[in-house]
Amino acid sequence: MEFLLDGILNLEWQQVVMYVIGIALIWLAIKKEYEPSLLLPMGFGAILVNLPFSGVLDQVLQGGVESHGIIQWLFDVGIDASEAMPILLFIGIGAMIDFGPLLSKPSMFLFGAGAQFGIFAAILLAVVLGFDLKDAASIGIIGAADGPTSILVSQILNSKYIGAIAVAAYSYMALVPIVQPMAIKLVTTKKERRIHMDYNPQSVSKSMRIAFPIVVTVIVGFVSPQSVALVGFLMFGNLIRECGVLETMSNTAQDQLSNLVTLLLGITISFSMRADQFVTVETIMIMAIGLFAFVMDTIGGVLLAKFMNLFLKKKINPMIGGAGISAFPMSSRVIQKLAMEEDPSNIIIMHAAGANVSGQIASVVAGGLVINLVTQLL
Amino acid sequence: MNVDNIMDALQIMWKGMVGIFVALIVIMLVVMLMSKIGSKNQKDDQTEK
Repeated sequence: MEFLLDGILNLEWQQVVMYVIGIALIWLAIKKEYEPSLLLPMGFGAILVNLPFSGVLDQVLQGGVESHGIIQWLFDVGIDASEAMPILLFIGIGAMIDFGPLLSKPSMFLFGAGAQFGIFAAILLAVVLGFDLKDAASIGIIGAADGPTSILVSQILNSKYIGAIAVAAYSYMALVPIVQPMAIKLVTTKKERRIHMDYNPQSVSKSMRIAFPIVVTVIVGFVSPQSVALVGFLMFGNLIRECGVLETMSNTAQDQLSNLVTLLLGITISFSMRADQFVTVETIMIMAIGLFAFVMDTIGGVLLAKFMNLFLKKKINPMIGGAGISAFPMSSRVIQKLAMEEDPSNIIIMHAAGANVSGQIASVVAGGLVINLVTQLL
Repeated sequence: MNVDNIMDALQIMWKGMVGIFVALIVIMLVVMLMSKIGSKNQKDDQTEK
């Protein structure tokens, strides 16, 4: 009866650590509702791939029989070979985004750019801590505050830390309500957080809403060709939403497509959460650098707003700058909540939403630029 | 600590931030132009009516 004990006898302590991490992710997903659509499949997957001789991974059985595992196959086909899963998810995300607040207040574009600073600060920190350039760049992309972009960039750059990067990216996205207020309070005064902003939006015509995704795709394609897969699919989803003749397709992209890809992406990413790769000092360092990236994103955006205030008659509430990260709509809600904490009559959510959707575009541009710049230097 | 990598990271930082700002400022200007043209057309239509 020894064959029944093969699994338990081959269990290693690192795998037990992964079960604890898996259960912790499932707990965060269910109890705290932190990005449950991603963290729950990732948590369960972390347990699946770390069972000794797990059948979800490729292996050679006794007698030389080859067995193919479903999670390894999903990873090979959906992420490794084509990056299809994160890219397909962008169609759904694009279909969900209303760029109206941004189009009616185009100056908010600047904050999307400013709040990407954390990516580059994190790359620098990762290099200082001893990671090589491609791993450092992959880790820095956690600062894009955009899970699919982080997965895509780390996969294209062939980083061995893709699992830890995905966990960090999604965990910190879920922790935006904790991380951002702390970072904003570090660099703003109460008086600045109380600044009111008038909201007089320009009207946004339907033709402009339709032209916008096409224009963005072309401009970003020229400036950062490596971003085209990301921005192109994001804008394709948005075009489906805005064209007005594909409502069923738009609803499918927002609901079924997004849910299906997210579900598969979560469990597929767990392939890179095998104990031998995940239970390392580097994983702890990546989690710390990821936190640093989110903090520096927020600070970068806030400082840009403060800098602009030096030249503006009508001051901007600098917290708007912090909303320029890609975590939509959570970041804009956090900024509004902070504004109301200081002054309950202060409504800045539409400005924050504009900066926040700008962050969606800026983060994919940043992803493409990082791929482009790093591959030139390697 | 690898000094070459740090210099590369600094290079990625400035080029990356410039690239993002250039891309978003160009998009912002095109959006402003489009809304100006759109509102002008709207005014022309209203005058014709």
